[in-house]
This record gives sequence, C-alpha cells and structure tokens, in this order.
Amino acid sequence: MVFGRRFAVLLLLRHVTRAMYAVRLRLLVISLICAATFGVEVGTGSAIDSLFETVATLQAGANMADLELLTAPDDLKNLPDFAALSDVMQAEWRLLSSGRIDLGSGTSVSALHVGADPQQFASINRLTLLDGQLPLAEDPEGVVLERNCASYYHKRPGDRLTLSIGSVTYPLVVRGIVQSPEYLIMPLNPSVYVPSSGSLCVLFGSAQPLAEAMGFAAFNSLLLRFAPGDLRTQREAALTLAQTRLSVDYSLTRAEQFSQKALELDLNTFRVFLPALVGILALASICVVFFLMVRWIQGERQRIAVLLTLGYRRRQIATAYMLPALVLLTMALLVGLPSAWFNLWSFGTNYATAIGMPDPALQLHLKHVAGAALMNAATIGLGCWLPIRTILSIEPIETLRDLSSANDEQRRIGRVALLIGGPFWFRYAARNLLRNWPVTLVSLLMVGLSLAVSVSFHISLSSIGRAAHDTFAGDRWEAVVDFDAPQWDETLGKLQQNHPGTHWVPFVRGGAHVIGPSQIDLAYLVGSEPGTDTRRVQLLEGRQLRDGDADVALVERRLAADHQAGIGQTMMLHAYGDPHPITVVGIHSSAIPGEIVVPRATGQRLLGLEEQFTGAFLVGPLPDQEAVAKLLALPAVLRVTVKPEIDRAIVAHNYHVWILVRLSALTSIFISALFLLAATMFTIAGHSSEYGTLRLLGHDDRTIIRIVFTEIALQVCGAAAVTVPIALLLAHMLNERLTNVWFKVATHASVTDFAQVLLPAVLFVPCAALPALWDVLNTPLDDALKERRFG
Amino acid sequence: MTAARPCRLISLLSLSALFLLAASTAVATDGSALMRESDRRLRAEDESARYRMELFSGDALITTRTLERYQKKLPDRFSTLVRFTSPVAVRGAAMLIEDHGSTQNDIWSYVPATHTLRRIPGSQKQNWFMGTEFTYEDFEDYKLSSYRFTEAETVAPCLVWAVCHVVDAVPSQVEEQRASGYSRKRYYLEKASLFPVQIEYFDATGRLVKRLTTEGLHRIGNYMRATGITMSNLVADRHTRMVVLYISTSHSLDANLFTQRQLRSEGD
Repeated sequence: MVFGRRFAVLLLLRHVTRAMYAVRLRLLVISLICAATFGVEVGTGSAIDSLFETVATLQAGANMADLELLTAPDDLKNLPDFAALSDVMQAEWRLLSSGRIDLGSGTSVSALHVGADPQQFASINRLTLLDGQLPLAEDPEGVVLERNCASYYHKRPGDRLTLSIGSVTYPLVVRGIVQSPEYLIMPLNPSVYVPSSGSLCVLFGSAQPLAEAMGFAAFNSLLLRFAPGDLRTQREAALTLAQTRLSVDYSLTRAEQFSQKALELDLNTFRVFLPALVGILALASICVVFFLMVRWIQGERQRIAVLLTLGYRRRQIATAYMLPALVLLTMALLVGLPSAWFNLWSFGTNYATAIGMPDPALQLHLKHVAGAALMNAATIGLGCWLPIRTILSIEPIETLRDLSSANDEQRRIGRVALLIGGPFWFRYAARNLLRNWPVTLVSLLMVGLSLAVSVSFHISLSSIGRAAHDTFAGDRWEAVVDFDAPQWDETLGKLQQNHPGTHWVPFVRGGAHVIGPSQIDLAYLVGSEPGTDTRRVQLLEGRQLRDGDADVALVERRLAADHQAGIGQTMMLHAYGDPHPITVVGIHSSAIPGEIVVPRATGQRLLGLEEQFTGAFLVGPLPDQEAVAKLLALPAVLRVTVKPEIDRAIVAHNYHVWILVRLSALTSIFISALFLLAATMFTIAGHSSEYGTLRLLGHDDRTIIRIVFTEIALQVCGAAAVTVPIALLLAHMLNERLTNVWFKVATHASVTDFAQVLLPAVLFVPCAALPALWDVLNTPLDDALKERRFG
Repeated sequence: MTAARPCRLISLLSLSALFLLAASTAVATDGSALMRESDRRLRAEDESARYRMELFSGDALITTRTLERYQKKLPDRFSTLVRFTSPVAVRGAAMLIEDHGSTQNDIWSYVPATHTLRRIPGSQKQNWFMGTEFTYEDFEDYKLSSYRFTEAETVAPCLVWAVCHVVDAVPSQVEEQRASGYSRKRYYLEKASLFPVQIEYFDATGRLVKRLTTEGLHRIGNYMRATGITMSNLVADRHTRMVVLYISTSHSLDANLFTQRQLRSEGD
C-alpha cells in the first residue's frame, strides 16, 4: 500500500516534470529574470560594501593622521612642540597652498599644493606611487600629482606645469603619479559654484620652493598621530597647545575629513537608492513569475482535472506543481551568481571610476547572497502562490473540453467578436484575444509592466537632465564666474568697469560642517544675496531668503532630514572659527548634496570672508565665446560657466548617480526582452493546437503566420498603451526616490523615452515569435487532431 | 597720563654706530617719566618710510625684501601700517597696528596669496613675524600703562654716544605678562635725544635672547631717526636688518590709509 502511494507520488512528479520540460525554455527565461534581480541585489550590495572596505584598507595601510589641525599660515618657528604631549606619536607640518595650474589655451584649474618635507610623504598619510617617483628633498621642482588630476588632464611623469600661487609662479616638473589616502575620490573644489570632477588638482611636493620665495618656511596644516586612547581627550589637548601659538581654523579627525565625508555621502547615496532599484526589479520578477505560472497552470488545467479523476488529492497536485518554483529558485541562484559577479564588477568599477576611486577590491558578500536568495524565494513564492491556489478550484469534470466556457459572458464576448471585420487572419487573431480576454488582459498588463520598467528608467534619465536644467531656468544670471581666491567686494566695481553693460551679483562659497548631537556632516555653504531673483533655490518647504535676514539658512532636504532640522529649528554650522547657530527657514532641493544657502553677509562671517566673495553671477546678455575668453583672461578668474553648460556640469557632478540609473535601465531592458520572449512563446504555444486545426481545415502556412503575428502585434500594441500610465507611475516613484537621495527630480516624460523602448520591443517581438512559430508550423497534424481543440 | 603713547619699534630707525657699553652705576629709580618723554619725542603726527629688509643666518644673507611703513596719529588711535613690496611672494603682505590706548593693541595681518585678513590675538603676539627675527610684539610701542619702568643705571660712553639711560621694563599687568614672550626688556636711551638706541630682550628664564641695535641716528624734521636697525636672535644666530631707503615726517597722510580695507588693497 505504502509502495503504491509512493509510486503514485512518483508518477505525479514525473508528470509535472514532463510538463515542466514542455515549457523548459519559458522556465529558463523566468529563471533568468529572477537571476537578474538576484544579480543586481547581490552584485550592487556587495559592490557598495567592497568600496567601503577598499577605502578602509587603503587608509589603514597609509598610516593616516588621527587629527589634522588647519591653521592660519604661520612661520614654522611658531610651531608648538607637540612632542611635549605624551599621547602624540607623530607630528608633522605642511603648507597647503591654493593656486592654479595653467593648462594652456587660456584655461586653468584650481590647484592645491601640499608642500612638506618630502620624507613625510612616505611616513604619514602615506602616498602610494603609481608611476614615476616620489618627490626628493634635492629636487625642489619635482612634484607628484594626485592620480585623478593626472588622469583627468592627461598628465604624466616628465610633464612640466606652471603653478601660480598669488602673484608667484612656480615652474614644476611632474615626477610621479600617486594615490593619496586623503583623496580616495575625485577631489572637488568646494569654492566653485558646481564642484564638478576635475575642479581641483592636488600636487605634493617639497615646501622648499615656497619657503625660498617667501624667505621663510611656513605651515598651515598639522598632522598628528596619537597613541591608542581617547581621541576626544587627545584632540582637546592638542588643540589647547596649538591655540597657545596658532590661529586654528579647523581640527578634523580622520572621520571628519572633507574627502572622507564626501566619500560617505557618495556611497550612501548609492546605498539608499539601491533598495528602490531592487524593489522595482523584484516587482517585475513577481509579475513575470505570476503571469507565466498562470499561463502554465491554465494550460495544465485539463491534465490536472485528469489527475483528479485518477484519485490524486488537490493538495497533492498543488504541492507537486510547486516543483517549478523549486527549480526556478535553484536555476535563479545558479544563473544569478554569475549575474551577481557581473553586476559587482560593472557597478563597482563604473561607480568607482565615476567618483574617482582607485580600483576597488571587489568580492561577493555572503550576507547579500543570503538576503537575495531569501528575496528570490519570496519573489518566486509570491508569483507562484495564486496560480498554484487555482489548482485547488479545478474540478475533475474539466477533463471534458470547454464545459465551463459556454456561459453567458462568453456568449456575449462571442457576439462582440462577431462585430470585428476585416480579413480572416485579422478577425481570427482579434477574436482569439477576445475569447481569452482574462489571459489577454493579464498578458497586456504584464508585458506593459515589463516594458514600463525600462521606460521608467529612461524617463528618469531624461528627468535628471531636465531637472538639472530647471534648477537654474528661473534664475536671472547668464554665467557664473569662479575666482581662484576670495576677492574683495571693491574689485566688483573694477570687473563691471572692465565689462560695461554687465551686472555682477557676488556670492561666497566654501566647505563647512554641520554639527549634530551624534553626527558631523559635510556641507557646502553658499552665501548669496537675499531678496533677488538672481538665484532662487527649489524650495520644498518654508520660504526664500529675504532682505534683512541674518543667521538663517535654507538647508538641502537630505541634510535637514539627517539632522532632523525643521523650519524654525537651529543648526550648528562650523566653517571658520567657532561653531555658529543658524535658524532653518527653508528646506530646498539641490543638485549639490549638503548645500546650505545663507544670506551673503552670514556666509561671509561664517567662512571668515567678510567683505569678500568667491564667485559672482553675471547678469546680462549671455556672454559669447569672445566675452568668456575676455573674462578668463582676468588674473583672478578661474572658471566661467555659462548657463547652457550648467546642466552638463550638474550631471557631471552627479555622474555616479546617472551611471547607476543608466545601468538599471540596461538591466531592465534585458528583463523586458526576456519577458517579451516568454510571453510571446506562451501566447503562441497556448494556441498551437488551434493553429494545427486551422491547418487541418486547409489554411496555408502564410495565413497561420499572419494570424500569429497579428495576435502578437495586437498584444504588443495593447501592452504599449498600458505601458504609458504604468511607466509614468513607476518613473514618478523612481524620481521620488532620486529626490530623496539626490535633488528634486520632477517627472518629465518625452516621446523619445517611450520610443526608445517600445520601438525596439515592437521590432523584437516578431523575432521572439519565430521559435514558437517554427514549432507550430512543424507540428504534425495528427497531434493537433489528438488535442481536439476546434475553437 | 594713562594712554599708552605708541612708539613703534619700526620708528626706532635712526642711530649711528654702536660702541661697547661702559657702565657708570646709578641708583635704580622710576623710569616712567623718562620713557614718557622718550615716547613724546619719538612720535610724529604723520610718518612714511621705505626700507630694505635683509635676513641673515649667521653672516649669510638669506633673502632681501622691501617694505613700506605708514604711521599716523588719528583722533581715537595711533595707527601703523607695514606692507611688504617685494619680492613678489610676499608683496602685499601687511600688518596694521591700532593703538587705542588700551592694554592690548589691535594687530591685523593680511596674507595676499589667500586674501586672508586676520586679527592677531593677544596670545599670539609673541609669534615670529614673516620669517624675521621680529615678533609681533616687537612692533608695539613702550606700552607705558602695561609696564613698570626702572632706570637701572646710566652708561658712559654708550655705544657711539656719550651717555645712555638704561631703563628696565617689566610687565606690570597680568594680561601683558601672559601675552608677552619676554620677562624683561632693557632700553638704552641716548641721553640727549632719549632715542632708544639699543633694546635687549630677556626670555621667561631671564636669559638674554635678542638684541636690537640701531645705526645712523640723524634728524628728520623735528624727530630723530635711524638709518638702519638690526634685530639679532642671539640663540639662533640669525639677524634681520632694516635699512632706511626713504623717510618723511612732513607729509600729511590720508586717514583712509589706516583701515582694514587699505590693508588688503595690496598697495594698489
């Protein structure tokens, strides 16, 4: 008896296995889709962790300073004796000089020259030599370039540079290219209006040329390493000693370094955005599994009914039909792992390249593999749940064909179908779709959803570009001029005299820290003229700045959220001197994460730039190339960005986010293509016996091909129509997420966004139909007779 | 007379040669009156000058700079502006000293390369200035209200002069005791002109660490001025020499010259 029961179960499993084998290609396609989602989750999640680990490893091996004190430039003779502090293991000085490097053709780039005793570069904040050699004490002209600058401006060892600091020019020779633990991502110049890639070059060299030019050795940066202990106490002791002789502007622990904060900001953007991406792909996977399982179970109904008549219990059959779920999960994991490796590599390397990180040590993380496996199990389980449940409602009587079809509803549909005119192949295809309208509707929705995912990513990409443009569209300025050093207010008059007919609105800009009770975050401080239309932020809450405002700020939405700062609340800002309280009067959306806009006078005071400005908006006619060249020829002008270029500059500044969305779009296209292939195959296979019957009735292959293509084309057209609202909805959700992690991205859809997904889909579908069509046309006619399906 | 009457060190540029001191002992008496009179005789209403500054390490000349100095008595303060004019690396670097008569002077420093204007806190006035052997406080006046002056002796002959009053200055105010890098200064005032022809500086341990000497004392209008001064760091064997290229006490200077805005103008 037991043997008989086991045998029956084995027979049942054998039947399900055969049924699965019949749809093996479709199962493979579903598993590929699930694998793609698995791959994104595991690959990108592991990539983020790998990037953080790479940073930690590189910094750990670089003997990084525990504390950096940034001071006013001072004579080296005034350096306090830090060795007197028992906890100080190493204390080194250096001179950080801001200047510019002439790139030729009238262009230049902001530069930071790190001058020190060359031996220091191998002992603290250790440089890793990538090419050439480190600076030598006996070679004061020799410098090494930070690798991002070298790569961005194509500089190599042996190249000559002219560095200008103030009025002095220093001829330098590039001796090597290095990786600095302080600049593991592309260094950005916080003083320029859009701190984009390539906005700052960092050079390391001997401080001797500067000392010779000035007649004395100076410093403004101190690097301290402490013995293991309480960093807070050690910091206070070092500060107290430093302040006996020095004007300390900043004291920064390693975790508070600007570059470290910028890195965290970038990687966390990635981390916050990832769940949205995985969520959309997982949703698509659930829908795909659901749809294909529905179609499969529907095709199996009669066979299941037969099994019921043979005495199998519904629960037994339902359990056996869960076998594909297990197979899907196994295949998804097997195929998903290579996919995860691919995503790990593509996301990791692309993202690292986009933010200027060194090649990361990428590896898959078990926690992400386990998490994604669970997610896949849930996805497949959810997708299979309802279709499998329908097995419980199948009656043995369904063994007989179409007993359930002769209801009133279907008769009504049949009457509607009769209204369709046109040639036979068109009428047959259209009626076919109408007769099976629930299946047709689900197909339309699912194909529409699949295409909508791709379209939504394209809409997001367009929206990003549009949002970047809209950020400044309402402003009155036509160009932004950045200077190589703060300028005094009185020089504004000279600029206007030199450029008659122009009006300049100055602003100050610089790096700052927001000090919260439990965290310190990087902020880009902008002091602009209140009460003008020259520059208006995209306000989400509160109000714009007004004339007479003081010590108030418009805070970038994410930063405000991180510090739980609402309208009317106070935030502590530290840019120069002592931390300063400001009151939040507005929350705004900015393409520059962490941007805080304050009245110019407040910004000047916070940044220690009283009566100064770091840049200016040029109000007036859009400067042509000649006018831009004339502006660039002014001694202090570093960069001129005309309004049409700012969109590109903003996107370039956030290229890593763009990369992420772009790669997501490509993944979704892959999933859409697979889904279209599977859906088409199911549609044709579902009607294969009918096509066989038509052939028996004497219809030639051309008619069958027409019917098949028409049916598929009608489905795709319907799906395309469904795609529009779903894509808009998904794009809106995606843009909301982007808004949360980045800046306000309003949804702007264009015909192109739809066309670049839907047109290839329409062209792809006939190709996807070919394998199934080939089967239909080559199925022996007696097989069709056995099916007894006569429409 | 409570207001400190400024007499910048930069103003002490008019001595001829120096001789070794031959001391003639005198009873130590209060030197305040002497210092007040010296201060009065030194102070011009308006003064402008240009200098060549030479930095020596031992006997080796390291670098040469030029600088200009403007000084004016204003209704509420006595102001001095010192600005480097060469070489190009330090051109425009400047310092503004504002003496309102309070215990602490306001000292502002300007660095042209970074366009940075800073107030030098009192605690940092003992810092070395721009690679010279001067500290910020060396540019301050006698600070009559913050020091206790004692005439230690008279010496004859005194360097190249017949007789000098020797006055010791010790910080009397706690604030000055904390801020100053010196425990004592010793002034040698030429007897006829009361011009400080030599100043010696003693560190916290009482060790003689620096000495200022003057050369070429001569009359400019109503005031005695030196043709050069040298500040010697006796510990490090380094010297900073300032040679007068031009000096005038007869031209009225614009009050706007002594503002922070002018300080940062870099001499345009």
